Amino acid sequence: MSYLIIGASAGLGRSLAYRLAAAGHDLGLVSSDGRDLEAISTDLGARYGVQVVSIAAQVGGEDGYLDELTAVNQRLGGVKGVLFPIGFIFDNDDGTLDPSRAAFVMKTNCLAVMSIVARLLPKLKEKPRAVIVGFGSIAGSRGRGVNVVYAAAKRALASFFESLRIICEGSTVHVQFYVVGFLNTGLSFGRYTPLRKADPDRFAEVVVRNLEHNVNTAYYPFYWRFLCYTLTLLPWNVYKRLKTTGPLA
Amino acid sequence: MKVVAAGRMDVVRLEKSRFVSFDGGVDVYADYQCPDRYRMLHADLGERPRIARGAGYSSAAASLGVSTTIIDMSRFDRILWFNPAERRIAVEAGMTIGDLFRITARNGLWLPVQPGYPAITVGGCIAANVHGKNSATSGTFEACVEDILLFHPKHGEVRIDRTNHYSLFKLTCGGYGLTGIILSAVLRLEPLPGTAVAMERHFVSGCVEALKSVRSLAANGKSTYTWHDAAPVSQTFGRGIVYAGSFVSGDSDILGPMDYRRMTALSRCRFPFSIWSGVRTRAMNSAYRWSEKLQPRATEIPLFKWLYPFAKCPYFFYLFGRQGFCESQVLIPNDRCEGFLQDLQRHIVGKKAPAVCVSLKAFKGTQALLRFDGDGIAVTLFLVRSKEAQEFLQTLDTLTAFWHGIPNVIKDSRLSSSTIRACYPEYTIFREQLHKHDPSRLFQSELSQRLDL
Ligand SMILES: Cc1cc2nc3c(=O)[nH]c(=O)nc-3n(C[C@H](O)[C@H](O)[C@H](O)COP(=O)(O)OP(=O)(O)OC[C@H]3O[C@@H](n4cnc5c(N)ncnc54)[C@H](O)[C@@H]3O)c2cc1C
Ligand SMILES: NC(=O)c1ccc[n+]([C@@H]2O[C@H](COP(=O)([O-])OP(=O)(O)OC[C@H]3O[C@@H](n4cnc5c(N)ncnc54)[C@H](OP(=O)(O)O)[C@@H]3O)[C@@H](O)[C@H]2O)c1
Repeated sequence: MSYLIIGASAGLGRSLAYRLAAAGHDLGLVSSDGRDLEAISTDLGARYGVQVVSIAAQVGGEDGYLDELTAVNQRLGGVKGVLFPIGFIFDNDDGTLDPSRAAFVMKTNCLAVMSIVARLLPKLKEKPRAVIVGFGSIAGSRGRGVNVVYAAAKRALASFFESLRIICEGSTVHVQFYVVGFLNTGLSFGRYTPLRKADPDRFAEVVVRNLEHNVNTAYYPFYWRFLCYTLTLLPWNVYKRLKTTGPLA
Repeated sequence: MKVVAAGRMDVVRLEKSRFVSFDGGVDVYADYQCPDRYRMLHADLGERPRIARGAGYSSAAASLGVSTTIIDMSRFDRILWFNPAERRIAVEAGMTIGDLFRITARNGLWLPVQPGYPAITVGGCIAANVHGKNSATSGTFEACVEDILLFHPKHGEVRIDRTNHYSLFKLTCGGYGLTGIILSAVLRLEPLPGTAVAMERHFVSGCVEALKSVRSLAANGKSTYTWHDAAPVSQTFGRGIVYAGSFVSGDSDILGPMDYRRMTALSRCRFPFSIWSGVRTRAMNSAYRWSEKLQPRATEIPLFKWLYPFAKCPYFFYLFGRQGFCESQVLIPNDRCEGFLQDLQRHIVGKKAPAVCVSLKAFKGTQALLRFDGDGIAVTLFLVRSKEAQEFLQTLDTLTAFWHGIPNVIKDSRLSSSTIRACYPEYTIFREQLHKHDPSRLFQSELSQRLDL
């Protein structure tokens, strides 16, 4: 059995790659830098003896990589699942991002996921059991003053996965979506987080364990479900104050 | 501080954290970077002083400093290629030697030079040119290194080995991270000589008596080291055990019990006070000696346990508590060892220095630059960190210079530049070569600043 990981060179994606390889799965890995991917691929091969194929593709740019992805899918004998731990933030994403950067953030965090799903879904549906796993963010739960386009992309992604679940209802494809809190990875390094960052290895363990189970939407760490719910219930004026002058500012 | 990479701008982001030298002697709150992609290593840190950090197991503050940006290399821990037939492996510098052993041992191979804790990194081993259990036969870590990929912002990535950039290669093996960031290295492996070690114990009444055994056992190719009670009591000082190991193809499953709970420089100092001190040191040393006496004279130990004795039994370090310990390791020429050891005993007992234990190990090699290498006996001393210990160690510096010894720079967090100048004939050459390679001295640590490098 093999899996595709989009955003596999670092953070959660890297942890997922190690967990899946340790369980004996062949892998297709995608991220933008060939050197990082090469290092991970050879390491996984040497440690676990699995087959690893990598594609260095800037998914925020042109779509040429989609054909490569199809080829890799074939080479791996048709993957059993696709995981999307991809994420990208510009530091000055405060509502003033220029159009090309805003487009890049939207494409990387959301549109590329949609394109890849569109390309692979027909093949996945041919499998006796397949899984698509998306990773959203607590940033997408309500409006905010930083990472503005990123938050919008993640909210769009959540909507897309909800629709995908409806589309895949009755098929062999299971759709899982995680709303992710702070993780101790490069994405959040050097950024202030009001709560402790979770360990991506632990999270990856949970994700891999759940691949065989029916998970719809899950929060990680779990308490974010309550926090996000509370945030959405807050009256706008209170939320606005919290975000501008309060602890969430 | 911006870098264009992979077609997009990435800002270098830093965090602040607490870093402690493993002995607890240097404690700083410093900026650090935790790169997990190659382009992050190339990110522009401007003229900020910086230093690469392995796993932080050096007693000296070699991978930290107050005004130094620390570059944590732990995410660069991958195998780049492995050719068991040619006995070569290319690994990133953050790979731990324990991990490396786990992978290579499956193919019947190992690194013959390994320090005593599995979480130590390959980068740290190269930069400190560490030694293993059998320094008299296998030399220092440099002997295992075929080539190094070194990155310095002013020179880019350079592959250095014994034919290309040899002087930089020599400067980097034992260069304490001051020549740049070691990205990866090709290491030479050797066939595993056995799956276990048959360990003999010889009980001795003093350090000088142990010397003879150490020399003859090491000359017979046995991995030999000693342990001695160093509590400042003339009747018991030096009582100890000579351990001599030879490889056997035992029943022990070498790939079995390789798990361990990782001790770090920060977790080591969690205990609020030191258990080692005065009467307690004497009692614990006696208890240890008796427990060893109750063991059979020869026992078979799985290779992992023998290579990394502190992996399963880190308590020796934990018991020093928050205040930490002072470690001193000196290499004394063979013909001067007896005199040095007698002086050492006289001063420890006479000054009532808070010493805990002493260990001896035979060395064979050639001393150059600031490397802890040469022919002689390495004497390692552990003391409870205190004012008395610091005072005693100044006496030890004088003794070391008097007996033509060299102190190990990576093991002692308080050595002064004058001591190092006095003991290392090539101190000036090292310094000059370093300044030639890196005129703006971008790579700095507390160690380099203290030693005026
Ligand atoms: C329990 C224990 C047992 C030990 N046993 C032995 C032993 O048997 N023999 C022995 O010789 N030593 C021994 N040591 C000491 C240890 O091997 C050295 O201090 C070693 O350098 C620690 O490596 P590290 O990975 O922890 O690196 P750190 O301590 O973080 O760094 C050590 C040096 O390496 C440099 N460095 C690390 N990574 C890189 C890189 N990628 N690029 C450039 N420079 C780098 C740092 O700048 C620093 O100068 C022992 C230490 C402990 C705690
Ligand atoms: N970390 C957090 O605190 C946090 C919080 C909430 C949600 N999340 C979400 O959790 C998931 C995992 O994030 P993480 O923390 O693991 O992030 P990360 O450490 O930054 O890793 C992101 C991965 O995506 C790849 N990637 C980014 N942009 C790309 C592009 N344009 N083209 C190709 N690959 C690209 C990266 O590789 P390259 O850099 O080489 O391209 C990397 O492999 C993401 O969906 C993220 O949005 C994270």
